[in-house]
Amino acid sequence: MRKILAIAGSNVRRMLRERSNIFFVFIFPIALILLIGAQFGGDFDPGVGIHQEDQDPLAAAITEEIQRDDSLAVTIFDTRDELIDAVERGTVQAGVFIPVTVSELAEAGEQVEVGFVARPDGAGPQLQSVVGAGVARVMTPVGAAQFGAEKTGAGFDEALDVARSQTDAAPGLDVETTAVGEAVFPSTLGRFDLGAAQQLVLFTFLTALAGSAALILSRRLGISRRMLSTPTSSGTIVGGEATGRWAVAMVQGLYIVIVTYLLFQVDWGDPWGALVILIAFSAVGAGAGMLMGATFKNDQQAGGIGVVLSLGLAALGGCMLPIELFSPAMTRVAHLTPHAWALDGFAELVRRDGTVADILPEIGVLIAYATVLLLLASWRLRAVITRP
Amino acid sequence: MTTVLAAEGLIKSFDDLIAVNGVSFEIAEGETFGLLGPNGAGKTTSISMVAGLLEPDSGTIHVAGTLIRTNSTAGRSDIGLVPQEIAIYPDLTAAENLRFFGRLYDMPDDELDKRLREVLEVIGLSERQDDLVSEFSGGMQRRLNIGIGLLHRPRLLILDEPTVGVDPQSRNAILESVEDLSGEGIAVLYTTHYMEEAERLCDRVAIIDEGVVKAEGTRRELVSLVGEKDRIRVTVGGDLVEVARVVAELPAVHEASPADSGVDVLADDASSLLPELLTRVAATGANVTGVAVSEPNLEAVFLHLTGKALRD
Amino acid sequence: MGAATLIAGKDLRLRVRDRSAFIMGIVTPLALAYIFHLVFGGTFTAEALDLEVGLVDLDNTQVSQSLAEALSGLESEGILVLTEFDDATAAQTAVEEGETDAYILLNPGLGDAAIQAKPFTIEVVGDVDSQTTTQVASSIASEFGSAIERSQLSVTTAIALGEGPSPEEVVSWGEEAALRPPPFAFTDVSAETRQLDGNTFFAAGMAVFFLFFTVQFGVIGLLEERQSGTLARLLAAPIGHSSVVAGKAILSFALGLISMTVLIVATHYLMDARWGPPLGVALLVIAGVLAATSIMGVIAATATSADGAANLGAIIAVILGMLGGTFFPIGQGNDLLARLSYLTPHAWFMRGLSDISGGGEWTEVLPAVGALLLFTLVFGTVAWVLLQRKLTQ
Repeated sequence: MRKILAIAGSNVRRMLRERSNIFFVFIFPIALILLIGAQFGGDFDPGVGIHQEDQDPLAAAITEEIQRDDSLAVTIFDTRDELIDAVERGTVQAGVFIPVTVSELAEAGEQVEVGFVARPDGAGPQLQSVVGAGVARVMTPVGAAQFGAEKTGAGFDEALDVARSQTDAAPGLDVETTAVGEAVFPSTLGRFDLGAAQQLVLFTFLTALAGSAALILSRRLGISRRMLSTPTSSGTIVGGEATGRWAVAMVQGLYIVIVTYLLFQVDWGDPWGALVILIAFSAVGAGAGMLMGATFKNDQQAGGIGVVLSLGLAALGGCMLPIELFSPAMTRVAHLTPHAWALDGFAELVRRDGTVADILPEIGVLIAYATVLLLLASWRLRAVITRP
Repeated sequence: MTTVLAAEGLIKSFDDLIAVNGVSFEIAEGETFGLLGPNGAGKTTSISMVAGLLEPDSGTIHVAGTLIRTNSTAGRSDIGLVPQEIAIYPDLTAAENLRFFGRLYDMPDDELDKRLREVLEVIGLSERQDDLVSEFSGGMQRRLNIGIGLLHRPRLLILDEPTVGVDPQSRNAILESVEDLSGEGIAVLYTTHYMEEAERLCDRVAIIDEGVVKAEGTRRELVSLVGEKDRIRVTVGGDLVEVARVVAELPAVHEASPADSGVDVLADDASSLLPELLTRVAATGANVTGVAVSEPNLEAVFLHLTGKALRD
Repeated sequence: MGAATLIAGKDLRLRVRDRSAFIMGIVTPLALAYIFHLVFGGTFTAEALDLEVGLVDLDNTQVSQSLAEALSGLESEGILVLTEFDDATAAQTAVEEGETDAYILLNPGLGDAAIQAKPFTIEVVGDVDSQTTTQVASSIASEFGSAIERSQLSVTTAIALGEGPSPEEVVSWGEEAALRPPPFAFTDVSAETRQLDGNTFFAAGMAVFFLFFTVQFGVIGLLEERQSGTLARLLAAPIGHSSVVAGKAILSFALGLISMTVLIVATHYLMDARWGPPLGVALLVIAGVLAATSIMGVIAATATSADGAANLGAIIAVILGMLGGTFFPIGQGNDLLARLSYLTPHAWFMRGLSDISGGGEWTEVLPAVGALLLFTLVFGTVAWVLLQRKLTQ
């Protein structure tokens, strides 16, 4: 046991001594969680840009009314071209152009033409109806005033004042919206919660696979064989290498859990449940890293393939797009990856207040993965270090 | 004899450290010149300046009359450099390595092909020329390392510690090929901290320490500089005291004393003394069974000049 | 120049034998782009999904039927799919079973309330995870409500102005007001698509992200040669120092160009990526590879060992790639992140490609190409000077 810890300890020390590892293990995941949280977390409101062509009071009222809509993320653009450009590039979903002299047009009884732009492939028509509801709230009294002024011969401004004062007498129709079913992502889910679990799974696996380079280097430099020449069995060496990789993944995982909890108040659910998932998933990562380290000869090649595997499996396993949004066929594919099972476990803990007992199936699958990978890796590693 | 390399007053410092402080030496055609000194003495800095890799703070280097500067390629073709590391590409074959460097030296293709075969022959790698260097033994890689330096027929070959970490057999092959070079009229600048190599190969040696040439000359000149004598052990049977007395009468002999099974003689120049010495000994009726000459070695000279041992 | 191409040719041979550059430059980006294409392929088009909206009309008056007419108008425009249900229970079941996303419930009394200007509520019930559809259904209902409101308000305003309709005229005035054109209408402003579709986005994102790793194999070679001692040989040869640096730069450029070309062709055929007019793409790729080579050149010049340069290069490449929006689009509108993003060559590459992949002329890449060449000029000059200086150290 002391030897296993010695080998594991030297692995952890080698990893921590490299400055770039510090970046990828400790700084980058947090930065990414922050970035993704800022970018996508919380509201998924579609972005709408408004360009108001002059400082007309009615125009300003329309702009304010659209901005008041909670379901839209509104940005004001100073020029028409900037707004069109933003729509074309997809930085906003749609653009609204409020023309000049809205008040004059209204007074003359003419229809005000509000420009609207969305990409043909986008959500244009839907957004147009949302924006239209806002514009209507301002323009309905205007229409009523036009009608009243025309019918009675009163002045438009007077008619508009009257119309605005009478809105209570014209209740129109209220719309009440209710939602049914259980939300996949409850509204209590913090803006960083989803991303934090995804990045935790992605990065612990990435780091574990990147650890294969160190193992390849040990083999190439003959350190593994030198260890074998000491009174140490190949089983102990394999155990030590595995423990080292597992420890590195655990250190990173715990770090992400603690830092995101402290910095972003990320909810990890039942701490014991989270710890068990982390232990099991780190073991899967350690097994995969060992298997790669025992299989490849060139650490640069292993590095490239490690990136493909870890990012690819992460994407398939729901670390980039939540599995809940996958098609049924892709959901089945996703559950071939250990990532999906780990994320299911975290979802159970966080969204349904599960405990260790509730995540036993997920833990079971992860342990099965870890066992198979570690056995394969031990067999391969023993073969390559004992054979010349 | 034509001077191939003339280095004059070389000074080079890095930050606070003065690595080379006023080194001058010349090497003639066909001459092998050794720079002998411990690690960190300034050998590699000196030859880096000679090879045009490093600009001296002051001093000049002329190779075959051309001034060598780091920012000019003039005179480079006359220099062949064999770096201390095995400076070859492991993922290229031996022939590919040679061909690449040959082209960098602007060798025309037909001449390059011809010379390639010659060099491969000399370094004994003709059979393996199309194998990747990464599959070569350390000794083979060392030989190729030297071969690349020779390829473009330089007038000055710089060998920086070419035998470090080489097995005895390959080392001997390397030394033999260096000995052959002087026969071809190539001037060789050889750095080493192996005394035996300097003694065996070099016509002249400069002892360098802490950036300064402490002494320079043929081995004999260096030795006499510090008054060291040749030591001759004559193994004889018979009256050792009588033999010693007779030998001591010779003018070139400084001292002769009886020892275990023979007589120890200290003299200026053993090789010229030996015939007469043996005649005298034979005349006493003693039976000579062996003669061993040990010339005073550079190790002793080095110790004398610098107050430290050559090897670290 | 001869010596530089000679060195580049030698290095290319080494890189081909080593295979690492092939894995980093072609296999990795292609595999990842393909996986992303599988995982995200569906979601990128989800914005244009069919909205399934149900309608339950229990009122069945002229007023309520006008909403049904408006909805079928939207259906014929292809904006939504309308299903009419006989009662709320059937509609509720359809939503719960996911057959329809949301339904609009018009209870009895709607028509009367509209005419008598009494408050009335339309109910919209949606699946909790179909917020977009629910929102749209709700907006349609609101729009309908505001037309009723306008009609009511018109009559009320006329009455309040003192010369309103006689009690008999109220209904006919209301109808007249309702038939009037609304005080505003939307007009279409035309826009092109300058956003990459999902397949092209991932193909281009991965290609440019890994480009920075690929070109590293060129400039880092300088540090490797120094460590192995072959650099001394190169410098001792009768070639200028600039040839050595140029050789590495040429290799970087060649590796980048080869990897980008292979990826563009492969993703075009494998993933239906639409890169746009070849001339524009070629200009963009050349400028992008130059910019990447320059930046990685500066990194090689500041690092002390090949490993150090590779590690630092990886960090810089990942930060720039992330910020430049190669993994997911960065920034909304013109916020800080979106502006910061343009400090990366990645963002300019993606922008240039967006400008042409949707059918724009090749000349539209010129601003992006200009920005990339500016990166090249600045970082390339620094790298050129620093690397040459590094040779003599």
